[in-house]
Amino acid sequence: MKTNCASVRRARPLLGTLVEIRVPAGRETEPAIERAFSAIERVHRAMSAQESTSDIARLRAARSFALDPWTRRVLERAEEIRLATDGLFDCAACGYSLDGIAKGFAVDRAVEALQGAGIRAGVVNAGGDLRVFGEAYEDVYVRPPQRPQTLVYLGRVRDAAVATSAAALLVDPRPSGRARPATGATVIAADCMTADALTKPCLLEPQRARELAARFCAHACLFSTDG
Amino acid sequence: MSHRWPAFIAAPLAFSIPAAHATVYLTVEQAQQSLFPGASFAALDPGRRERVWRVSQGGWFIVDQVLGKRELITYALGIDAQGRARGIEILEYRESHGGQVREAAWRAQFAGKSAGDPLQLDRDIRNISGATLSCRHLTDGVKRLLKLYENELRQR
Repeated sequence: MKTNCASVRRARPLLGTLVEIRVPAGRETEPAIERAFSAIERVHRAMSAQESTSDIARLRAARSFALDPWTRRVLERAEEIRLATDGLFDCAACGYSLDGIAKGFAVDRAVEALQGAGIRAGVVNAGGDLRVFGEAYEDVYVRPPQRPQTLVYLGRVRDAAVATSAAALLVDPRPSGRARPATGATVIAADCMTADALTKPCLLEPQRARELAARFCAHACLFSTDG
Repeated sequence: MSHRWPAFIAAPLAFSIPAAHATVYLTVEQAQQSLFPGASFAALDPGRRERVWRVSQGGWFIVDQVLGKRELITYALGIDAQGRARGIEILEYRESHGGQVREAAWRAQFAGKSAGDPLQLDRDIRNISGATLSCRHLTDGVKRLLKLYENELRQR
């Protein structure tokens, strides 16, 4: 295996996937990575749909309690995106699950933690929702949902987030009988929460994907069954 | 905002490239120091698939492998002296569809290459977006290792 020996890579199982952090090697690297994983763990605890003690589980049970301020931020952003996508992104349609946005939010918080610890560049990748920060350009590849054994070269990005979603896992909030969704959508945006959330509306209405993404200064790439 | 991305982002998905094979995150020794800083480790008689170490400051360090959806994951679990999971570190992650990837790579070398992006079979490919990897098997693996502790290691 060939790696860049000037970088440190760590991976941990969080958010139901493998979260990978890569930063340049340095003295402050280890504690910074630790802080970044702690931020992701906090998102995991607060917003997991599976864990009975999460904010989401308690919201569903309609109990009154103190929300983690991070959950409030995600809920507010989810509502903004719902309004700006004409209801195509709708957490309520999935039983108030934040699965379609929390992973991106976690990546953003991890990047924030790394930057706060003095790390100038790096990549955080939560099972395919990734964000690149710093000066350098990074090659980014997409694993198309319908052909997971292949990788498609997307291009180079700098200071940007990339997220991909597959239609197979999608909950459609629209009335039935609407246009068939694409099989996969990749969105490039300035932050990972926005990229993560926007993949769903872009999947649902592929013909409007470009326009929907543009409302957020983002770019959308779509995959269909014929590749 | 759009000026931050080079123009060819607008016309992506030009060609496929082979997937990576193995990513090594930590060696066993590095994972030991990450989970139990400053401790020393005594390996137990193997005799089983998992590799087990007793930790000098109390507790256990176990290395195991699980098969995910398409990938083989080598991971380490630290168990403290009270039998609670102290942490998990991923040591190695391997694509399990090497055959297909190699074939695709062999074919790809005849396709048009993009400037500045060499197609190398053993190149370490990072920054992959999409098709979320499943860590469910990892959760099952950790449960199994905690059972192993309950049934065998605790009495030692």
